[in-house]
Amino acid sequence: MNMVRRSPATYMMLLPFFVLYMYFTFYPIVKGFIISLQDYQILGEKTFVGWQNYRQLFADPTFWASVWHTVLFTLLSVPILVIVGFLLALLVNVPMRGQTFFRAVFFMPMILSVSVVSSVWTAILGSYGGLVDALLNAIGVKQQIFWLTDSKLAWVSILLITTWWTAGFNMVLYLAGLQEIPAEHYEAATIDGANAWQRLRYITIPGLRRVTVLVVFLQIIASFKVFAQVYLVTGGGPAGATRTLIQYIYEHAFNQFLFGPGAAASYVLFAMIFIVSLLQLRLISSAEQGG
Amino acid sequence: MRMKRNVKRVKASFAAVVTLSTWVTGVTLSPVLSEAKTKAAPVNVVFWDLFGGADGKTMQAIVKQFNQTHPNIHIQEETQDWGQYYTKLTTAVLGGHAPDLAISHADHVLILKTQGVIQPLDAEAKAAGIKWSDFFGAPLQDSTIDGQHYAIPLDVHTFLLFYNKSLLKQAGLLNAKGEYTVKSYAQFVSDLTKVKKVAKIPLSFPENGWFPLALWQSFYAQMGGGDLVNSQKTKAVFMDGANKQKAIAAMQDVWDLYNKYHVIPPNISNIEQVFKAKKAAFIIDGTWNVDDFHNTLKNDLGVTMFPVLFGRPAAWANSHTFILPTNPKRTPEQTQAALTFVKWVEDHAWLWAKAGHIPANQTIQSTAQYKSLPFRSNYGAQGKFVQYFPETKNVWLMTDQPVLDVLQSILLKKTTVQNGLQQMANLLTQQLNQH
Repeated sequence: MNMVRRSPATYMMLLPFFVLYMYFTFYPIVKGFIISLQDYQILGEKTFVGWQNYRQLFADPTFWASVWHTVLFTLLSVPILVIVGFLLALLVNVPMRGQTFFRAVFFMPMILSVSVVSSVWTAILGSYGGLVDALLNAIGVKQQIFWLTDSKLAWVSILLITTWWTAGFNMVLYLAGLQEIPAEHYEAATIDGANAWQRLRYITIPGLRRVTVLVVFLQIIASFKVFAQVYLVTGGGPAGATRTLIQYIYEHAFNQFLFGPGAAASYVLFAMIFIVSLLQLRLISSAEQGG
Repeated sequence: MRMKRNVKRVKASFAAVVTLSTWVTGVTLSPVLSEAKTKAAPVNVVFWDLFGGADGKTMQAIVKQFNQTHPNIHIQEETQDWGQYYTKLTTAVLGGHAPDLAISHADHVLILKTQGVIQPLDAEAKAAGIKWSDFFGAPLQDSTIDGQHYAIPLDVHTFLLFYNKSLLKQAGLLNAKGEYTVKSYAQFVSDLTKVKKVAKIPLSFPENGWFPLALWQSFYAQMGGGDLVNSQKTKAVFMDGANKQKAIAAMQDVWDLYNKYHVIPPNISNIEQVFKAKKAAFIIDGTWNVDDFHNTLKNDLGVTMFPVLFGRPAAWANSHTFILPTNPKRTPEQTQAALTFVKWVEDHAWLWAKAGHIPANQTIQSTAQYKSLPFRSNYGAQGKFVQYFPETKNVWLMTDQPVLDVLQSILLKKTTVQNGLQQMANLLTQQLNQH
């Protein structure tokens, strides 16, 4: 209160954002939780049912399968996207002709919308006449490879698509981090006889520790929220083998109008991300103390 | 001061342009349009549909023609994405921005009624001169709840058997008239096997989505299977009593096409594309593809009714219907205008038949305009033996992903035919009681 009296102008200026934030972010979060405890008829009655939606959820094998798919995707995609982003950053950090061009090229897919990305890759990977299929046919491979409809290959395809689409973002973060490492460190190391691998191992990677923690943090959250590219490319198929948690939420809330169970499922996702984020934040603060 | 004068000048010239253009269009159009002289602003009717592709173009042309011939009414067509349609419709009604008129699938009418999204339209339809007896029975049945009409059927869209004439000719499967006919499951399998020599894909059909469900339901109904869901809409009954053997036999015959005779190759991601690319000899697909296939394959295209392979004629179908969403803001004039449009479309339904569908208004089939459309008379009679997905209060089978996933896992051999069907029935029963 004291603070408010001391600098009223500051708080007045914060007020509009605060109001919008409360209304459009905080209120829906609370409302979502309330819905998760209700039998929620969109145009009819809303009755309080306690934890019933959650109990129903935990008894549904499809729900657990979706949770597992989401975790699996996170476990696989985070290391791949972080490492690929890091390697791309190293690559485009090398002084060479066309450096700006390559930086732009690797970042470019990031600016495409998910629908464009999905359509392009469906055309590339589709069976019986997709681009890859046609190329394989041309070099004599007659066997059909079902990139999008085999339950294992579908995951490989989704990882490939996601990497192509979003690795550029991590690359940019790493690239910025690389600029912060003083050139003198490399000079001194070179004079002391360190080879390229040693410079990478003892200067670059430790110097990027804080960036890495940030990139991993953001990537885990993004990976947990995976939905659109999977939904558009495989539809969650074959036979639900790639259904993620957000798709489960979407199908319940917006196809079947079961808002209660849908909201409950989104709170489970929220809890998962929240716990992982807490762990991450502790890691970040220890990294800051260390670095 | 200078600003103000400028604004005035802009306003004046704007007014001049408006007056001039009104006058010009008035002059050019008045000889064409008999009723163009009326001064009053036309009654605006917001009309929502979910038509993409050929459907979309056809409906746009119909709305355009209607608006040109009815200067007192302006139909404002707004096409929503198919996948999001019912979500948007329901939330629009909830948010107080409902359209005045909309399209619904016949088997979705009871869901909309249960949610309170639509209202009965008996009085409105009567005032507009709609004659219920003109329509095919099946769509009318889904549109009628507790004796009240909630929807006016527009079409019957159903599965047809399309084939590539030149591929079938090479395999020796065409009769003297250059057409293909099939009388039994055994013959169909034997023909599909013969065609393997000339086509990489004998029958183009997916194992995901609602298509296999529709194929199974058609076979099941042809074998004499009863309703999939009980009349109270609380239980799936296709694995009960006498239905069970038929449900299993029908699914086994579907399964065999994929996994025993290998006439439906696995994992076709775009079934229409491979048929248009002449890689497939046959395709079972909806009426909405007739013109698209015809434009690509020209004279090679053959179109016939969905094959009756087991005794009783039956083929999966659905209908688009007109509905009046609950909208307190709709004036009586707008309601009347909306129904005028509906009546006009029903009376000119050969225009809608251009999209490939069978008009729900049976009387259209005897018109010269309908008869002149290619292929339409090959399958118009199918409107009499169509089989709809069950109409329920809360589950729309076309997008019921959990049930469709189980069906797909049967076809992918992840579960047996019998266990899978039982699982589908249990899941559906559970969903029917969830709300």
